[in-house]
Amino acid sequence: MYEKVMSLNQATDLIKDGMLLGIGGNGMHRTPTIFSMALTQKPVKELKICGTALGLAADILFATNQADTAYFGFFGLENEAGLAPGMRKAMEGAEPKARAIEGS
Amino acid sequence: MGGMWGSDLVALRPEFFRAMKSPFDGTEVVCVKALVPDYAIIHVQEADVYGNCRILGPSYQDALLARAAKKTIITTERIVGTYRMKEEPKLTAIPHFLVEAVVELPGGAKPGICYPEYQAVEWPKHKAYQKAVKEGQVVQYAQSMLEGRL
Amino acid sequence: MEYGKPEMMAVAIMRMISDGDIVFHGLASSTPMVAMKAAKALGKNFTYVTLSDGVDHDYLRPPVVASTLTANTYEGSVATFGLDEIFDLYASGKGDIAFLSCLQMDQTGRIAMSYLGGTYDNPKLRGPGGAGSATLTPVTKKVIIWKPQHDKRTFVEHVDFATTSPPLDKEFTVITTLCIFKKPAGEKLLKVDRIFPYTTLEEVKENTGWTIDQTDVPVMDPPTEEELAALKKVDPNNILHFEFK
Repeated sequence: MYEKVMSLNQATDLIKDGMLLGIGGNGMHRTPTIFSMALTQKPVKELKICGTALGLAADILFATNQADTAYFGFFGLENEAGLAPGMRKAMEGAEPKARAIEGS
Repeated sequence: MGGMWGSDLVALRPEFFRAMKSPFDGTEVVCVKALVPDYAIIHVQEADVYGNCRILGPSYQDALLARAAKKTIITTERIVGTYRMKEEPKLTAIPHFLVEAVVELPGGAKPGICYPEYQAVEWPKHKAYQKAVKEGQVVQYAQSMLEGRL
Repeated sequence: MEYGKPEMMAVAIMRMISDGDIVFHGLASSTPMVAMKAAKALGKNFTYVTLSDGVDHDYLRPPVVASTLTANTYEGSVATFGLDEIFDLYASGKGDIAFLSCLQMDQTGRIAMSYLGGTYDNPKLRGPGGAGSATLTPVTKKVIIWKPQHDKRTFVEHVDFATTSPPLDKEFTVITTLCIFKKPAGEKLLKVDRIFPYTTLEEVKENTGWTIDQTDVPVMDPPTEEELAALKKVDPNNILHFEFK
């Protein structure tokens, strides 16, 4: 087995333009929000995001327009937190900045 | 796949969904193009330095996601000793060989929930996010939430 | 005994569950969650699966938030069974009931969950997606849609883009705050099956976007004291009322 502990800065540098990222968790629950927020501080763009039920961590990348495509069964923050504001801003209206591919 | 009949989603994205006849018995099935993420990004409660991960409470589909992706990046509430995994290997949700990076990141799911460490959304911080989205200030919001950890 | 629309809907849900059933609810499902826990408290012997991975969790531990993604339906479970496994189970025909919801529906049961207004790629309101409805609806023996409101904006004449729609050969039930609609197996259209004691068929017709020809529909029995007590027992924090605000 190899040791692979690294800093948030080093880990976020692994992400390059155009990559497809699978984001874990569900809605407001156990999603990698801080990693996502760290990505917003980097120039990475044109990301594609997938997941069964995308939530806050994914929403952040649509809010900053760093992600342009979402593959999902559900994309929302659920119940008390409601619909996903970043995703909606990116996908609604006459000139959407992102598109959705729903699977379920 | 057996389902998806009656959904307009199938016709909408032919680059992703195709209805066709099964080669085995001619029944209609929906084929879905496989997605292979470059990275899975998953936040867990326990990981060792090699990338073996335990998820406490609901796993959702994170174990499956780690198997679908080329490699996985893990952020973890805490780093634990490998002896924890050896106690009951079945409870290791993600084995080390799927993982490329482990980042020790307590509070890594905030302002959301991470069972059992923090089980309530930090609403003032989330309301600040909703406001930041409206005003196009998410990069600044994120910077303040990162608190110098980047 | 005192009861309102939330209690009537929850009791309607409880009455649809039979011993031996495998029953599923997903996220954003606080009403079925409370109803299913109350059905357990009443002694119904069914299997409760959900996307927290928990199988037959400890239903006496009260939920504290309306989110159905929490570990409340995981703690005290006898086993884990993930959502991907639930989908496989239902696809192989073993699942009995799935509780799903919708943004809009028409009389053929076409459901909108993807967007409202505009087109798919230029929506006015981008919805959260089917959340499994598209995969579960064609294969589940009994799909039960619950909607905590009944108005013409929800029950419309025609849904343009259907995230999913019920198959001809299966039963499809819709529970609203006013009534129960049913599409029997083999039929195409929803009909009013029961109205609730506090409303009239006229009120149902006034609030539905399609024409209802029926003139006489049976009234469902009101919640019994036992049923209301079961709801209070499993839900002291009144999570049931969350969707009805």
